Amino acid sequence: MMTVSVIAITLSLPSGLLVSINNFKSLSGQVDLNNNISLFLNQSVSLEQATQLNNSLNNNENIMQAVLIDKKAALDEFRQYSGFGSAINALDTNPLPHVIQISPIASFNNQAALNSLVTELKQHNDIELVQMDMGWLDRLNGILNIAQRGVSIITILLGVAVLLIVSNTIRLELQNRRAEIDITRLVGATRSFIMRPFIYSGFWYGFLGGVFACILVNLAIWLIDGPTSSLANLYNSTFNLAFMPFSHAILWILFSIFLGISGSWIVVSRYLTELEN
Amino acid sequence: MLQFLNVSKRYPGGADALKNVSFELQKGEMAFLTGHSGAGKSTLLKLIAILERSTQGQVMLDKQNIGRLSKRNVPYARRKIGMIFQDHRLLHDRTVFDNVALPLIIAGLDRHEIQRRVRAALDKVNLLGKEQRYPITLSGGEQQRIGIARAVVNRPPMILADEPTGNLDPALSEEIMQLFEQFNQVGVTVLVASHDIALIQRMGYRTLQLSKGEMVNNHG
Repeated sequence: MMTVSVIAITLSLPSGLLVSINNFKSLSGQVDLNNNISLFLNQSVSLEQATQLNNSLNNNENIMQAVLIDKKAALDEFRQYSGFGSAINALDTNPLPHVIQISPIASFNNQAALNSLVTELKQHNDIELVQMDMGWLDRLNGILNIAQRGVSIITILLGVAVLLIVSNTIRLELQNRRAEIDITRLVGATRSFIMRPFIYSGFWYGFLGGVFACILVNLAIWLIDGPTSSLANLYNSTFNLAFMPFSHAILWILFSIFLGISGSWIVVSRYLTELEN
Repeated sequence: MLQFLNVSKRYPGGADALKNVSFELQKGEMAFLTGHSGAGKSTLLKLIAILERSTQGQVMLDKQNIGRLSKRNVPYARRKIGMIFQDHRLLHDRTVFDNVALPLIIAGLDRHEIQRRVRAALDKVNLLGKEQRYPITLSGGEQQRIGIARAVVNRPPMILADEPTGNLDPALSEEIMQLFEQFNQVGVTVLVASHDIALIQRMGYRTLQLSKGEMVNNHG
């Protein structure tokens, strides 16, 4: 039971981190439905010219959709929502430019392709500024990728730790059953016959450890979910923490079983090789 | 059945435990192995049980050179020998039945056959009715008989006994020896290591005598 708890706690760390990262990813994914690019046009560009540009962009095969935001409409909207209504009324001219918001086609999801599109757009005379709306999301995703790599390393290290825990437990079991092993060997037991019960215990340590690790992680998510949703509420979001997907839980349990069996196998086969002549 | 051909055994860094030992046991023969402690009795038995390998010479069991047997095949060769020990070597956390059934479980027999054979073996050693007892609750003589039942339960062609009467009083020793005689009468080859000279002489079987690793007497 001790061993199972240690395995569960050890494995809950990497699996918990992975679930957190996946949650972060889904959070950024919610915002990052499309890689929008905003084109701020020159002040001198008229509405007709802007409409023309918008139409030509709509015909560009790399662009899924281009939407023109008329500067007059933009100002009205700004006046309405910003609370600077009277200040804006005091302006003589509209300081806002026309803006075209474009969404690249779905296959345009890598940085290199987007950058070439941006460079192409920048060369247009009527366009003053090209802004990638979601640049910060790429950075967040970059950080998450680093974190994911970190989790992989932690998983390997803690996997080795689990292997050692199981080995140690099986070694103790082996010591306790030394006499039994000697006797079964004397009456003609094969190597696999002697190993079998130890491999079974390795399996059960791994299986139970993996199951309890998944329970621990989901329990932790359940505990954190309440405060997280109320925080998300403050940002007008309905974000909820996702529990560990069933397929991941299965993979973690299989991983844990693999470690349990391997740890046991290594110790017992080394012990038996020492005994054999 | 069993043949030693110029067998020597030297332990690493130690003296010769066996020097150029040769003898043969015919199928269905019964013999005693004697000698003082340190004469090489245990080494000789270990070579037969393949717990040790000879440094020189051949150990043939049932026409098989067991000294050259691969590790994989060692367990199967051991199943041809029923081994009995002075300290019984029983599993104290298992019942009498489970102890005796062990070789059959290892051999992979089905439950019904195991039950039948265990009962037959226990019947032979007069322990029927004590299947569910634990060895520790039985007397020394009874424990030794569990060991004997375990050794014969899978009907091996040969029985090897290492000081089987070492801890028993003369009457019980006699009883155990009579058991061996009974097995011998149905064709089992029996080799008993013992230093109970009086008992051996009374029984009148062939005696192999070891002294300082050498076979000094190899007939009756």
